[in-house]
Amino acid sequence: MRKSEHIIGRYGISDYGTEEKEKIDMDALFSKKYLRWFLTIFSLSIGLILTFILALAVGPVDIPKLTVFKILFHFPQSWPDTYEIIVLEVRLPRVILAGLVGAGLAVAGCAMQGLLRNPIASPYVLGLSSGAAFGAAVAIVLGFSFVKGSLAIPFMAFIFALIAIFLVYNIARIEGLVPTETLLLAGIAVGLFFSAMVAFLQYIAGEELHSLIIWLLGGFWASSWNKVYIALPLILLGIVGTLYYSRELNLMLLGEEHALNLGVNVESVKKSVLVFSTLTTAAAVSVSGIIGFVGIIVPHIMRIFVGPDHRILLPSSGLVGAIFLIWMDTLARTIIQPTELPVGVITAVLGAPFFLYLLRSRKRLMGW
Amino acid sequence: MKLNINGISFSYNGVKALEGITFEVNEGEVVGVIGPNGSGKSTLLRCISMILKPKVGTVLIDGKNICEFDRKEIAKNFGVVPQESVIVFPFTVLDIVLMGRMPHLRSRFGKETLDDLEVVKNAMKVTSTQHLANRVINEISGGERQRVIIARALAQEPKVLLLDEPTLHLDINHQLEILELIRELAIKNNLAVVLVTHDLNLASRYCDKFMLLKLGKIYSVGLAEDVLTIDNIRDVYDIEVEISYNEKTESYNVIPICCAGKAAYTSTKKEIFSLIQSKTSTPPQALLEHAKRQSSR
Repeated sequence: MRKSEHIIGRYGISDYGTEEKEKIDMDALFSKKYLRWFLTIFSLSIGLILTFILALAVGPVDIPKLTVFKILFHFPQSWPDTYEIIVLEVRLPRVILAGLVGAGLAVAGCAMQGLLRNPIASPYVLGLSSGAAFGAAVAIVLGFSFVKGSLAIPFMAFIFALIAIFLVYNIARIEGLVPTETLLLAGIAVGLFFSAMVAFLQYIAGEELHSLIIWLLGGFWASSWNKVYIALPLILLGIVGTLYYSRELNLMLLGEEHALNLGVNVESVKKSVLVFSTLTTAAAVSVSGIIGFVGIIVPHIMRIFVGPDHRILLPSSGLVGAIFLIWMDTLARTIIQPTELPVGVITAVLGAPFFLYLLRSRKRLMGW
Repeated sequence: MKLNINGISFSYNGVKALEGITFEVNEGEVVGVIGPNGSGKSTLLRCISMILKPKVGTVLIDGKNICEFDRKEIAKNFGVVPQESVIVFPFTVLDIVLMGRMPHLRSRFGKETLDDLEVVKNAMKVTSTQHLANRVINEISGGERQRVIIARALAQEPKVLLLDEPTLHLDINHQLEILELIRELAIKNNLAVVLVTHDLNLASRYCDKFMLLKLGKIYSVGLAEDVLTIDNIRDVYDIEVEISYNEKTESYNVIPICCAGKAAYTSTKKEIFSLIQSKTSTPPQALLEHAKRQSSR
């Protein structure tokens, strides 16, 4: 090239020979990206709606899909009353909960992985699940709760999940800064503490042991409209709040100093994202127990397909998380009728091999 | 446009890292910050961009104190190019440069406007990174990546460009390329540039003014003639050097000779040879070759 000129002209206008290289239409590249994002969200939404209808139709009593659709949209009745009860009172809250929890865990997991810049981060990584488990265990084993009735267990799980994160955040905070490594370590320590307490409660549980273990495994068999009313606003708020910080999360993936230099108030973003994902996860755990796998694997799978940009990664993870968990729950309740399998077992058994296949073949696209 | 640094001091947990740093940079000017490891060069850059909050002193841009700015406002004024950017995530180059628009974006959920895209295109044009637009950031070369990061800094439309050893790990060709680009941008975009570097020769070629730091204090500041002297470099770096003027590059060349105080043992190949001869039986072939030529001269 013309490098020799550089030595002579100190202020010479450099020319790196762009004309030799192929020209790229930046406008097209720019608009294509957003079109691709729109199509991704659109098709996943269609997938979620179809999943929804199918999941409502399948079960011990098979109901025609068209009838499900008609029941949902209050068409003039032309089906037995039992169908209506099965769809609206039994299956609908369960499917909605599974979808909400799947979406919430996937979004929260994705946000935690981005925030902590750590591929093994999950919504539970900061000790939230152990805190929730402790709260639930206290309610189940000791029969103690701040509220009475069927919501005692969810309420205690929610409160102790928040307590755990509050502890972790304040332990990790030094002079107004919360280094992510410290946060992670504090989370592990607090998590281990609560796990030990849960183990102790299991040890002394006696005949309550079975119901505690069932709760810890996680599942949707105890779904009700009440739980939907509690979880829906909290999880939606958490998801929307997390989406609000998509751009900031992108910049924080490059490193905190990059983010600061690009105008991101790193500490306040950390705090906000933590608050929203904690809210989502705590609500999810309190209504469904501790369902693993979704929150850690779905974001990784979506990273392979849509890339690292949180503006598309978060919403598509949410949609896929919802679809995935609804399917897994449908399997869990139909595969060996009349008994149910814990949904967490199904997600891991079916999801892990698929993820390992992707990991082997497309690792490069994930980033870490 | 003018950048004023007034009496900045900073300490890490009580250990003084910077003390009373005062200097100014005008637009179009490149100021080279030089000094040994641990002399506070990077700390100074971090204090200017308010990543570290100096305990004493102010940073003024056009007379306005940036301590009162929020991060967004700071990002509109300062573009920062860090030492080395390890980005493991497969963002495209266009995405990375678009991130530079962050401080200017109004809508949270919407996409960047066409004006933003125009600024980005321009930044990529002047840094010659257009052809990389759809490449993935972790799959381009180090020199290309550094140009992309400079493009991202330009997309911030800053008034000041702060660079922390931008040519570290780059080959000679890319070192020149990056520094020529910076020199050119300072003039074309009216940027005030602060460049931290270890390379005295490149600094003397591309910087207008120099600031030599020693243990967190300014040891010498001014033009190349005043700062890059044999005495200054001996005092600060503890080495003996020879300085010559190169007519072609119109700049000074600093050639290190030996560590100060160890003048008795200079590490010429001849002396290494004699050292090896006194110790081992078979010296390396290359040294024997060298000694042969020396003696035939």
